[in-house]
Amino acid sequence: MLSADRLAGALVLVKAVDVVLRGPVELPALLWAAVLALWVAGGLALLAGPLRLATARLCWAAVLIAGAGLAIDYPLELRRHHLVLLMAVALGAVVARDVAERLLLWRVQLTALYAVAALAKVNESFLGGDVLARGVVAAPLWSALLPFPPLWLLLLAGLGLIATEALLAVTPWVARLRGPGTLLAAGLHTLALLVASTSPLVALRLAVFGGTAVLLHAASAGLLPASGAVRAADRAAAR
Amino acid sequence: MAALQLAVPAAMLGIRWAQEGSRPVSELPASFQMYSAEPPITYLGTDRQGRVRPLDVGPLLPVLRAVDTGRVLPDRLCARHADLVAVQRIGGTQPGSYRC
Repeated sequence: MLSADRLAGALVLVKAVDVVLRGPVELPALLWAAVLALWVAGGLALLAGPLRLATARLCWAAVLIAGAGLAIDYPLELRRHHLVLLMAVALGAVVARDVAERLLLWRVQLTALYAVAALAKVNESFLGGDVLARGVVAAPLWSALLPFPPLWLLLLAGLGLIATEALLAVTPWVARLRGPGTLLAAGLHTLALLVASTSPLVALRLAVFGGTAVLLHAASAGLLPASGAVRAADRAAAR
Repeated sequence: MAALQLAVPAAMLGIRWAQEGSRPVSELPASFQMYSAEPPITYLGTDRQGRVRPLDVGPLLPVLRAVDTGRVLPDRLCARHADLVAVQRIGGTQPGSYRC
């Protein structure tokens, strides 16, 4: 049975590909291998589920500790939002005492993520279309298939993106909007994957980020059990 | 825990506003500020005598002064500085020289 834990385990393993390709940077090779092993073990255990909440918490703790190790090995990781988001999700799963609290913390995480993402874009560079224009120029898919967009389209797309992210900050808190919010998030992150992937590694990281965000939305909406062994409790908590 | 989830990115956003204002050039760690910053763009103007000087886009409309595509900004800089014959854009998505 698919659950948030299992899906997160798959995303952790996808991220491991990125780590392996990069190799050790700051940490001694042996310590780096231990961090990677812990990361992969946590991911595999989550993927293997269904797990009881207490067991899942241990796996999430492994992911959290290994994530901190990855951030130490490669300080740039903390500027990569996909690892930060995965660690924040892991932290929520570790500290929550039950499914309801886990979902509450994940909803807060979604709000923090999208509200700050929207507010951060309310600046001249983004509203003026520069950031989107740079993304379009750098995107192989767009530049190969479509013409450079006119300024009015860049300006409208910028406003639309900010409005979408602001809406996604709210949908986890309104029961009837959680399902549509999950679809909207899936659409937004798929679009980002298509437009902003400038290389296979960037695509992989965007997939981890988008996958994690959609996972949180789906768990919040009750479309996906938060942890495999507690589906009935998940349904009650999602209401 | 929930307060921490909200406070860290909010603080990072505040710090960036304080340090970089409305033309941010960096994304701070653990902040979810993805795709919101842009490297700075420089404009140089050439007058009829061939002298080159840096141009300030500050007096232009807040949104327009960030646009780095097409002729939007070069045209406005030309209109503002009647002695210019060309405006050069360095950086951004469409660098190049534009005749006034």
